[in-house]
Amino acid sequence: MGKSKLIYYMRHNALVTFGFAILALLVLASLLAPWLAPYPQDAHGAVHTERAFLPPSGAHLFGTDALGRDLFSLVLYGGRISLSAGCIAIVVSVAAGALIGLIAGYVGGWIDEMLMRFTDIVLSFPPLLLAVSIASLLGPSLSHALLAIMLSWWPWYTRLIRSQIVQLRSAGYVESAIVSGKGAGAIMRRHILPNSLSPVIVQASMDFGSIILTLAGLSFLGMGAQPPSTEWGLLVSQGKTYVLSNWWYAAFPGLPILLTAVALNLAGDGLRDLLDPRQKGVTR
Amino acid sequence: MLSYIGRRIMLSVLVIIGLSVVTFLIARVVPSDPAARYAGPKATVEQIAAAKQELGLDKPLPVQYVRYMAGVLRGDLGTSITTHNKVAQDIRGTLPPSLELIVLGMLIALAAGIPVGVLGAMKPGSWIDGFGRLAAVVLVSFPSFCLGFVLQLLLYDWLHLLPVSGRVSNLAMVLHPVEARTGFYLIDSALAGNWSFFGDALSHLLLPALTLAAYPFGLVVRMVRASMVEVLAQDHTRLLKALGMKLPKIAFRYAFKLTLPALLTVIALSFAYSLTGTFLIESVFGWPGMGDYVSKALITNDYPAVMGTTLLIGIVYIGLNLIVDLGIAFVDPRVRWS
Repeated sequence: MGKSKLIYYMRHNALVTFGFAILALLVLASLLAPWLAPYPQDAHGAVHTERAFLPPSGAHLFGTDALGRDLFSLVLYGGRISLSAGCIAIVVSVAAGALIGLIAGYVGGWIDEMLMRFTDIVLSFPPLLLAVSIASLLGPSLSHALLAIMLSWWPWYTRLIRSQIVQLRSAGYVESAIVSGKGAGAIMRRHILPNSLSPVIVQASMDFGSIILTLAGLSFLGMGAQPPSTEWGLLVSQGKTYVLSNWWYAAFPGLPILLTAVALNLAGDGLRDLLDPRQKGVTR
Repeated sequence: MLSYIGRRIMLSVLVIIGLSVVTFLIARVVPSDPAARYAGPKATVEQIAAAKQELGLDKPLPVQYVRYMAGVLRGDLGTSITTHNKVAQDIRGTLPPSLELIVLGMLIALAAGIPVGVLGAMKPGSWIDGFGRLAAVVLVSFPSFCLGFVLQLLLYDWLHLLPVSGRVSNLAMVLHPVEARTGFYLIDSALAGNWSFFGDALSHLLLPALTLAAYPFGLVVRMVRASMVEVLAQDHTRLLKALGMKLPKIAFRYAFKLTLPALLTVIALSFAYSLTGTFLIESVFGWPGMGDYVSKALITNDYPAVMGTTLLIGIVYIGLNLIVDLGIAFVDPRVRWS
């Protein structure tokens, strides 16, 4: 997959380009939060009750919250938490799931059977319930919410990788590598892993959006990030009692959640068409 | 086919046992002392010990598990620590509101999603296809709690069309009370022929149900469209077209049947989403369902309540997957042969 092909593709598919652009914008805004935020101290515990519930204006683009904090600054800093938490969750899930799938698919036999049945059991556990259980066991916090998300997402990648490997193991070039006496580790690294990666990347980019949504939902229910964090879902939950009187309080922290999820969905669609042409148009 | 059914049922039983062990362990390792909470804040050491005995917390863990499971099989999920009711009884009270919400949400999603998906697949690239795909992406990505707020602002605050929260208005409760037979307000009032209560309950149900329907709608549109496009490109449907049959007839009468496995899968996915998705929506709309019950139980460390609800939702979730897998094997013979 050359860089020029990506650029060619983006030029011809406005929606996908739009997705990547929004994503880049959100990441950039979060990275540059200390320079962009007009009231950076508001995200670090400053309280000005005399400016509570100011509607959006030039001075406060997104208005202010119940404590008089500038919501634009809070949302910028919140992006650092929400986006990096999502990244950690997806990377760990993919790595753990891929490793287990690799072992199951390559070793086969009873180890395969055992690992896959275990995967089935974890898969039939509703993710939100797992989060509820973990929150009640370890107490509610952002890292426990992340733990619950990772625990419920890895099996999808195990399944995906395993099915890829079972297919690839009988491919001509893998069989000839075995015949020529290459070790199992080298065959996996050189031949199997690179060829089974595309569907995983596509799946991960789609799941990233769901993970961001789930994380925000958990914080919204009080099982994720805790105050004084500025995580997006938590900000929305703080604004929920004022929806009808001060709409901006819940709306502006909610907007980046929606944008991130839309952008990742569009970008994922594009990546799939690029990397995995067999799947083209399957879920669109 | 029989061996396939047998294998799937075996696996489901195994998963349910695994689930019960996990919920049991999690609930029993809760750090704070449930016996002390059960006995109340002013209890003496003896009273706490008595409560411990009454709750069976003095026995070793495996014994506690076996006793709990024996109770579960008899329909006894233990006693709630905060409400002092039987958990099964509490759940019986909170299940109907949640189910009412989930079922109506699913019906809305299917009724709107299937036609949009099929029409989009019939004319790829047309305005209805573009609209359907855009709506699907946006609705799948919309945080459900934010969508709830948007709908509240739009349909209650701005247009004054629907009530903002709750299950029924106090006025209807007083003027046209209805006898609770099933706990499902719509069914109870329809059985009694009490249509003003029915209308009031339905108008309260619409906002949360629309919110809950958003994500499944997106899934249905995507899946139905994708599998319909595939079926319409196959030789046998192209033959029908060549013979001069009209496209809508081909799509709805012949091709639709071949999209059923995909549709069943998406229904299962949506239902599974709704089972726990309703937690968020109940929180937004003050809906007195199971999600509401669990969140309260969580805050108060009411472990029998959390355990009972988790187990019940898990079993429904697993049972649903089983039914759908068997349904797919039934409509698609290739599955049961492999």
